[in-house]
Amino acid sequence: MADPSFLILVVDDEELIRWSLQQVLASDGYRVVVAADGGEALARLAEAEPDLCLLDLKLPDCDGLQLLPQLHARVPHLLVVVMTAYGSSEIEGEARRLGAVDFLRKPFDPGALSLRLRTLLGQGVRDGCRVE
Amino acid sequence: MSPAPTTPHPFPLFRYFSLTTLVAMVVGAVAVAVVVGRLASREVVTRSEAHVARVAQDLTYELSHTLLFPGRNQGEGGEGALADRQAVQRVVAPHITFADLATVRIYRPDGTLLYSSDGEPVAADLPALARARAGAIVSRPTTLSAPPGSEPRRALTTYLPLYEIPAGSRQLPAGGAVLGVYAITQDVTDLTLRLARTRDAIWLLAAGSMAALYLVLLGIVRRAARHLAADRQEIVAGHHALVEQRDRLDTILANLQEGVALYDSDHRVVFMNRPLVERFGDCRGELCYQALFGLARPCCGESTGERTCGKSWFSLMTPKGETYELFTTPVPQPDGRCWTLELVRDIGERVCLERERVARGEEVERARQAAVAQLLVGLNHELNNSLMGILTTLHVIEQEGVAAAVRTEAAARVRGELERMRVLVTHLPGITEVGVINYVGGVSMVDPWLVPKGPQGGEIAVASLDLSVPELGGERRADRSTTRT
Repeated sequence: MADPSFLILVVDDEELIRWSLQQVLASDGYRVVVAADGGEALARLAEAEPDLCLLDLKLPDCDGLQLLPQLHARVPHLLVVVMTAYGSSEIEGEARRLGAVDFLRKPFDPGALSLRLRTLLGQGVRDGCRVE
Repeated sequence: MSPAPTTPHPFPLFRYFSLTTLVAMVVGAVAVAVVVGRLASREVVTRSEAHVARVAQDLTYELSHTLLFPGRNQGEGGEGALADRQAVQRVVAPHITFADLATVRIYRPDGTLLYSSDGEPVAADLPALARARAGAIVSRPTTLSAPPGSEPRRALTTYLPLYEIPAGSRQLPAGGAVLGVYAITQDVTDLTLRLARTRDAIWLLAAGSMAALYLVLLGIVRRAARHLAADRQEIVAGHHALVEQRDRLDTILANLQEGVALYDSDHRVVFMNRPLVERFGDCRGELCYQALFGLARPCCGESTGERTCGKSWFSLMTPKGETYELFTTPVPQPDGRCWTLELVRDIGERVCLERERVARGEEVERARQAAVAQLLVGLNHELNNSLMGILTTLHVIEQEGVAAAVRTEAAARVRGELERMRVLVTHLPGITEVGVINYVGGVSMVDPWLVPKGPQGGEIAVASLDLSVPELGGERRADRSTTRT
C-alpha cells in the first residue's frame, strides 16, 4: 500500500482515463486529483501541491510540453510523468529535457504504473528532490 | 466572277485577217493575172515565130536561090529578078495562101522596099531591119489596115535575112553575104483574142482561187476561233474556280489560329498564313528550319535531304526552348517533286500548363498521402487513448474489494468507450475532411473527432490536410478545442 500522504495529479482530457486512473491510484492508497486541461491543472496546483503529476501531452487548451515548465514553476519538486498515446523519441527527449522523470506510451499496464509510481515516489522521498 | 463578254467586231472581215493580209491577197491575185497576161502575149509571139520559122525554111531558100541565083539574075543587073514582080509573086503566093500569111515584103540592104505582096509601100522598121541584116530573125507586133469602121487587126511582122547562095548549092547557108531582108506579116488577131480569153479565164480562175482560199481559210480560222473561244471560256471558268477556291483557302488559312506554311522540296518557304507571319515575320524564300525554328539542319529525320512524301506528326523543341507541334502533309508537284504543307502549333504554354498540372497533381498526391499518414497517427492516438481507458478500467474491475457500484460504473464506462471505438471505426470510410494540429516535435496528427465524442457524439467529420493545398479545402484548426463542442 502506498503512502497516503502522496498526492497525485492526473491531467488528461480523456474522461475515462482520468476516472480509471483515479480509481486505480486511489486503490493503491494515493490521494488523487484530476484535471481535464492545462488551466484546470494549474488551478489544482493552487489548491494543493501534488507530489507527482501524470501529464498527458495532448490537451485541449495547451500542449503538455508547454504546461510542464509551468507546473515546475509552481511546484519545483513536482515529479512529472508524461503520458502520450502517440509519441516519438524526439518528443520523449524533449519531455525529459523539460524535467519529466518518466515517459509512458499509452496504453500501458496499470499494474506496472503502480510499481513505477511507487519507485519514483520512494526515490523522490529518499532524494528529497525531483529528478532534474 | 463571270468571263468577259465578247463584243462583235465592227468589220467581221477584218476580225480574222488584217488589212495587210487582204491587200497581200489582192496584190497576189493581180500579180497572177499580170503574169498570166504576159505569158499569153509571149505565147502569141512564140507561136507566130514558130509558124514563121516553119514558113521561112522554104521561103528563104526559094527567095535566095531562085531570085538571087547569080547565073539567073546576072543579066538583069542583080535586081532584075527581084524587080520582076510576077516572078516573086509566083514564089510568095503559095506561101501566103497555104501558110496563112498576111503580107510578104522584101527590102534592100539599105532598107528601101523592093517588093510588097499587097502592093502597099510600107516603111520598114529600120532597127529590126538592121538586126536582120546582121543575120538575126526579129519579130515586131504591128497592125494591119482594116476596112473603115472596124478595129485594126493585130499582126506580127518577122524580119529575116536573105543570103547569097553559092553556085551549085542546094541548101540554105547558115551565114554569108546578106542580099537583103524580107518581112513576113501574120494576122494574129484571132490568136491574140483566143489567148486573151484564155488569160481572162485564168485571171478569173486565179481570183476565184484566191477567194476560195480566203473563204476556206476564213472557215478554218473561224472554226479554230470558235474552239479557241470555247477553250478560253473553259480556261477562264477554271481559272475563276481556281481563284475562288484559292480565295476560300486563303480565307480559311488566314483565319486559322494555328500557323500554316508551305515549303518546297528544298525546304524554302513558299507560303505563310497570317498567324505565322505575325509570329515570325515574312520568311518566304528562306529555309524553313532556319527562319522558323532556328535550326541548322532540317528537322524530323530530314537531314538526309530526302523527303518521304508521307504525313507525319511530331513535336519540336527549338534551341530557344520553344515547343511546337508540327503536322506535315505532302503536296506532290507535277514535276515529281514533293512540297510540304505544315501546320505549326505553339504548344509551349500547353506544355507549361501540363507540367504545372503534373507538379500540382504530385503535390496534391503527396499531401493526400501525408493526410492519410496524419489520419493514421490521429487514429492511433485515439485508439491508444481508448485502450488506455479500457485497460485501466478493467484493472479497476479486476481489483479485489472494489465496490459493486464502482464495478458496475466501470463496466458501463468500458462499454461506452467500446461504443465510441465502434462508432469511430464504423465511420472511418466516411471521413471526408481532415483537420490538422501541430504536435510538439513536428509530428502532425489528425483529430478524427471534429464533432462531440462519446455516446452523444454525432457523426464523425474528419479531417484534412495541410491547408497550403487549397484544392483540398477545409480550415486550419490549430486549436483542438475549436473542433469540439
